[in-house]
Amino acid sequence: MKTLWPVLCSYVRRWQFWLVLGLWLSQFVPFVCFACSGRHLSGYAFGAYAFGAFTFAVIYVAAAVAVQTKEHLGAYRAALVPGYMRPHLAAAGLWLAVALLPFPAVARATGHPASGLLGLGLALAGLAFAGCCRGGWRAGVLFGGCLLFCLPPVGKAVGAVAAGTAPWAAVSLGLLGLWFLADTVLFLVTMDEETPGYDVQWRGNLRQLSGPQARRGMFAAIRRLDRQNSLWLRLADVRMPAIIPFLGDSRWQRIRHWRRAQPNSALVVVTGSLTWLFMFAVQYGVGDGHVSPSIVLRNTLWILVMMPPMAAMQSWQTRGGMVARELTYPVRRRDLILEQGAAILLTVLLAWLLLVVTIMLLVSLLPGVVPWGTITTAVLLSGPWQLLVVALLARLATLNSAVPMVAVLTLGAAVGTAILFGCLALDSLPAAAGVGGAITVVGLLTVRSCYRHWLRADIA
Amino acid sequence: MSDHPVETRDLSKNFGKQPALCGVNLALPRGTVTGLLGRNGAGKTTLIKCLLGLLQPSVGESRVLGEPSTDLSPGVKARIGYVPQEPVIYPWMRVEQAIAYQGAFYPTWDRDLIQQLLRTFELYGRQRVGALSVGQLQKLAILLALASHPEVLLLDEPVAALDPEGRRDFLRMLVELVADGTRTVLLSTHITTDVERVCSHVAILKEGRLLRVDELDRLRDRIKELRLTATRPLPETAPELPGILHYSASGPSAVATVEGDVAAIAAQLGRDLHADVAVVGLSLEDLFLELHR
Repeated sequence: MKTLWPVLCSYVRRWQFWLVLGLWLSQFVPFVCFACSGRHLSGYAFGAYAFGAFTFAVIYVAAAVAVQTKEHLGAYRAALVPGYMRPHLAAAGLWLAVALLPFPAVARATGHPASGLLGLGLALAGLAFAGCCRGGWRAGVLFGGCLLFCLPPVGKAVGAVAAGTAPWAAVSLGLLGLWFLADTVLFLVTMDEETPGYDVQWRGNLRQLSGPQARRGMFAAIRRLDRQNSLWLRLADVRMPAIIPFLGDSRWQRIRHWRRAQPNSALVVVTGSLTWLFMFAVQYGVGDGHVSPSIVLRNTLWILVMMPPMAAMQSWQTRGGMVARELTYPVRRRDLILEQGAAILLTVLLAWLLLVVTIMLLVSLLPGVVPWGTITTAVLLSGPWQLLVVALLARLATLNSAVPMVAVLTLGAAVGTAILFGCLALDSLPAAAGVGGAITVVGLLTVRSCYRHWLRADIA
Repeated sequence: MSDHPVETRDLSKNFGKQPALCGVNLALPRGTVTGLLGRNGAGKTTLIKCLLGLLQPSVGESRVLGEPSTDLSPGVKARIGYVPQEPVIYPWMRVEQAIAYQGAFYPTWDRDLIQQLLRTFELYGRQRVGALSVGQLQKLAILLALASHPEVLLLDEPVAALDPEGRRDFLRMLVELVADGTRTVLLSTHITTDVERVCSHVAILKEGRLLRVDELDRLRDRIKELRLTATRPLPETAPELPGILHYSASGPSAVATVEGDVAAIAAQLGRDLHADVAVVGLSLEDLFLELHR
């Protein structure tokens, strides 16, 4: 106990803990509201919703705990300091339990079956923990499983398990999760530098609050996972010819060139659309061809507001450490800042446009899912909102700490959603257009201020 | 064309209230290799970053190839090579891709030189940058800096991570590079023997202030150690003479480090203290340590 407490506190002292807590709460609170609302949903519909909510919550936490545990146990101290491993493993187990158990507990307290959620949760936590610690096929199973969940029959089956209608499956999944956890713990306590998977880690993720590593952070770290075999790296290879001609003074060519240094910019662009399609497919599959407009609307708004700035953040984290180096290339500083900014804005704009087009296409094909007025309001507001949030993120990017950026990202999502819901409540397109216009003006002013700041800021 | 491709005038840089550079005046003559020496935190990296325009000076200015560092034109930047202390090269690219990516910005990118350097440094185009060792990464950074035939080369501890063979290769290459007398190199390092091997000039920084900047040989001629021997105990405090940097006595022997007209100071000390004086040359390391006492 004497050593467990400081180890537990070591999680709390890192800002990423609060980010993960925020993400966990963003799933848990709606789940509690949903479970307590007294809706009489069919079993698998409840299961699907519950699973959807706590999948993300458990994966966030398990991944973060895995990173920190491996960081601790992969250090030389683990082999030298007596009694070092036990409290770290106990702390990891406690945090996993804290993340996982409230969901089945709430389900049980509100009259829903809990065993299915428990089994699925253990499987997810085990897979995420193993995948993040060891990489390779374990990570593949996790991500592949999430993709499979898009398929309606799989979604329905998982929903049924979560709803407790297939106890044998829940028990099997629970045992599978425990096996993954036990296997990974065994790996962690016996690994050394020659153990395959030793160097799999999300470097920089939970390392420190400030400094250059903090700017690279969590999203960039995913890319480094299983570095040699990553599909994203292979895609980057395809985009990057071995011989590139001299760029000269062509600004557009240079903007395209800067974007080449974002290895997964295409993925960033499609992430919002894919996430929206994924959520829609889950709802569509679970609902047996019928979707709940309110849930689709919630997902749509959330993704519209959140995803493009997240893409911007990702873009920055990819590029952050490189800008100082690129500043020594033969490009004038003001041109470099304009072009780098344009490259990031272009990524965000493309992500947002693709998302809007995807939503509009699907809404045209399946009329009545979301009213056109709502979609138009969301488009009018979310576009300008991206500009403002991206400009704010870029303005803060010269700081040595990523905390303000994360705070802006989180607050930006909350405030943006609130404004959007406010305008929806007004049910007036001119009002939405007016608010959107005002946000655009503020966004453009912020872009200008950001540009001026970058002209004189230290970039090193 | 300026005879001093790298110049600073009263250059100061503060990080918050912490001064990193204080009134640095530096002018590197064309065709010279200047070793920049200083303890950890002396301001070497800050000085180089100010020269590159990565850090904005708090006071004063710096110029490279005649242009202010804060607003270098692409034409001038193309003539500058830089090897940072911790090379940051796109880890997801292969070596050949990183080379091609950077090369696209330089009109004078020399592919033949790249091939030659790849062979010398035993790097392979298909290697993933992220999988390179620290030393290999440093070699790649050196390669990227040299491939555009820069007129000004700013090297921030470039050999710290290299093995002895890599260091030797690099220093040889540096000597070859400056042999035509048109290139100017500023080499920040802790390894004084490397400075002695390749540098014609030396600049010594202490707590952000430039203590000395001079030709290496002249500095060695100007600063010497005097060993004094007398028949009776020598005074424990130094005589009031200009040019004595350090003095310590123990019985009939004393050691003094002096700067300036060494012969005159030695003669004066010998007369004043009635002692025999032997003049001893200092290695650069000893000289550095003496100046940091």
